[in-house]
Amino acid sequence: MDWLSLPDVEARVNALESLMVEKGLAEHEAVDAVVASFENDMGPVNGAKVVVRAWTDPEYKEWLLRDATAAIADMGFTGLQTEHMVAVENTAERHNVVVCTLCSCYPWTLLGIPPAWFKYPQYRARVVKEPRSVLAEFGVELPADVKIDVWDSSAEIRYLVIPQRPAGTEDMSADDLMSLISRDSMVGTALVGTGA
Amino acid sequence: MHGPHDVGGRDGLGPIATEFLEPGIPDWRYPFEGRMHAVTAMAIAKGAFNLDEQRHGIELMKWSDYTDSTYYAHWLFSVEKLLNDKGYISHDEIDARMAELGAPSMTPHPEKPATLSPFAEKMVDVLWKGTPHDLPAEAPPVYDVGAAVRVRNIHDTKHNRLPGYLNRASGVIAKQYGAFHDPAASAHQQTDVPHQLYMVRFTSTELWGDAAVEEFDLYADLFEDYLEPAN
Repeated sequence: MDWLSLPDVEARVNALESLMVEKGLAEHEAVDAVVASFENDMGPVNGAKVVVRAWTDPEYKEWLLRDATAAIADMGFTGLQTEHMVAVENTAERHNVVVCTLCSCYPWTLLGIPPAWFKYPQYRARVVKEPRSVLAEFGVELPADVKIDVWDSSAEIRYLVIPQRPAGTEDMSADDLMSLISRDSMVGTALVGTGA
Repeated sequence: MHGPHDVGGRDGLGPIATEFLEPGIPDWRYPFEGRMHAVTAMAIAKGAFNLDEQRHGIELMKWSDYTDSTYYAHWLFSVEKLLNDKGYISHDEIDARMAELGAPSMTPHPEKPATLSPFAEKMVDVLWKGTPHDLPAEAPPVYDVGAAVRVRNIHDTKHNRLPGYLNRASGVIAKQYGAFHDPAASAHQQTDVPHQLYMVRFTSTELWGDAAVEEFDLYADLFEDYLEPAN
């Protein structure tokens, strides 16, 4: 590979797209449409809606933990790389964190495109060996008695972490609850605070 | 295969880049990233290759290229190799087109076109429908939930979804998922072969030794042929 620099990669992607369009494998406007769909319609807002529903509706939460694929489909958020889901719940005793050591598998329609730290080798190598230490680098300091479960998405199952609902949010509206939930909290590299 | 992508548990790859931990970075940092992602999905939708072939292509990168390149260079390497090897677009054609086009000017964050062509509509449809990977099983699962299993010592140079750090590890079946299409058959023969899939739980001491620095459980989703009964 002679083309490792960013400008080289960009120029080569440009040439590839141009040739793919010529040979009927792509269309420029369809590329715009796909990019726009990912950037505007897919993203952690979708995951946060699932989390808020689980927080506020105990029956939904039980369904989500039992059959996340069906429960998430019910909200219209299954899709590409989000066909087969498992939801794992953070509690006072247990913290979950998700990785794909082999590549960058991630529930696109539910959480959007994965962040750089999820895709590059450093997180992928370390979180399956020293998760507590990696979480500390993300600013997540867990008490020693909280058990950590690490989930390696090695097949086509994708994982959603349901963060713990913070105390003191009992009277918050769904919209206000939504604003507390970060993308990282649904992968396991952040906790949810009260925003206070 | 235990190639450059198979990084679980490896030492020496360095810290997570501090620039990646800054808040507010867009998930596609450069316009070429979204476009590479989109054309890959289109090539798969058009049947030029499948997802397992695309993943396997990345695994064939030179180790130093894998670790030194920007993420979507991996997709570019794999897609370019597949399209070249299957006779769609040659490496030389891409070189020539690069010279012709000169410096690109890609629109960051393009708007969705006001009207969508049938192909564009189909692609957006694929995004929301997905492509389910489960298949009717040809035989029932061999392992029950709670069964003690051991990962077989597999050093296959073909594509599979067995992280190397799990080789020979003993664990417990946590869930039966049913049958999913086998990644090796898909990547190498382009066939859909059902293969029972399991969630398997491992302990940190099993994986990293009695002197493991941290205590935790690790779950991975593994196909039946990767496993054998633990004695």
